[in-house]
Amino acid sequence: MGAIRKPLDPPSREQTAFLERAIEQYGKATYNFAYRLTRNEADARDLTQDAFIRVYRAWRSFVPGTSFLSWIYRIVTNLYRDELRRKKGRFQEEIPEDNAPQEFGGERPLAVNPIDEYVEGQLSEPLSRSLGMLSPDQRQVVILADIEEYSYQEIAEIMGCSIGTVRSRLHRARALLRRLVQKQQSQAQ
Amino acid sequence: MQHPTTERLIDYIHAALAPQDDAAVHMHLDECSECRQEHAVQIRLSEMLRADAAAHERELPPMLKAQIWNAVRSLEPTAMDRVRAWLRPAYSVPVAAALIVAAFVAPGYLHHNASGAPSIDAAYYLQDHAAMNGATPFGDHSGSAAAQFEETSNVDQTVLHAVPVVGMARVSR
Ligand SMILES: [Zn+2]
Repeated sequence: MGAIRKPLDPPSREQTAFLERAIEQYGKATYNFAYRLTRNEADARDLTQDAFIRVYRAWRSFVPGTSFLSWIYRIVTNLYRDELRRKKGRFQEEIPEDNAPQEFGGERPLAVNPIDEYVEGQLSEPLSRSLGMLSPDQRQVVILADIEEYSYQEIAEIMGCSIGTVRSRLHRARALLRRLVQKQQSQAQ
Repeated sequence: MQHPTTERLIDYIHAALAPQDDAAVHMHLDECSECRQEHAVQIRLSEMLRADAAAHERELPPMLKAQIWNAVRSLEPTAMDRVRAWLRPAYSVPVAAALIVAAFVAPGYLHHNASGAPSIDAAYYLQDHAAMNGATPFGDHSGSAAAQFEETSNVDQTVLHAVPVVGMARVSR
């Protein structure tokens, strides 16, 4: 590059305002999404922070008028996926996904946190606990379809997969959830 | 009609069936109590998931907000930031206009002009503040999102691709 380098511009007012508005309007939703995915506060905080840093850096690539939430959920999804890959070795084996090959991760099955290690006060709740036993992909598709109420098409775009994959993941996740909840309920009786 | 499978009922409650299939399942549920029962189970599961999520909803920790701002302030400038800072005079309109011509001549994001100094696609500047200038910068809950996306999509082809753009809008929540 050239010999003369001017000092860096301070961040533009627009860029700062963009981030401020993003945090204000979507910080809570993003944090809750991250928490539902990771199921522990420390990871949710890290994920949220990293996501907003990306928002700040890439703010120009946000298309005005489109859904900011979808955009940041996609960022969170990618960051979470990277993080899972990094931590892979530290997790235990997960519950097999009905003999289906793992679509997210790679050669070895990815795992959830050792059964809700961090989930305070939720162990007694069959549904919360069952959610923690799904694979990250299954959990995410359930969160997006049933809690966030996104369409299959929107989920496919957020997760970067086909609609068919969304559909089959959701079917498997719900079948598994149902079995897990029933099992826990019958054990409790 | 045959009983719809559980998978079909799951697609049905997520409004993911084609209109004809949706209507067929709807009609079937009217006349089949067995399937109505399975349908109710699926609805109940979705309701439980939403109730569970609502029960565990958290506020954004104020500390986290502060941490995000601290992290942003301490960011190392990216290569792009450096190029941008170095090219500050190029923000003037005549130069941007000249760059529009350059953008049509040479593809790609960065160009090298005659003196070897890098310059940036004019489209980059044109899009620069679009996010803040729009009437509804964040399209969530916005009805005209699709139209706005149309308007900006051409420009965005040339813009930073650090993060993939999710080019869609929420229709309804
Ligand atoms: Zn039936």
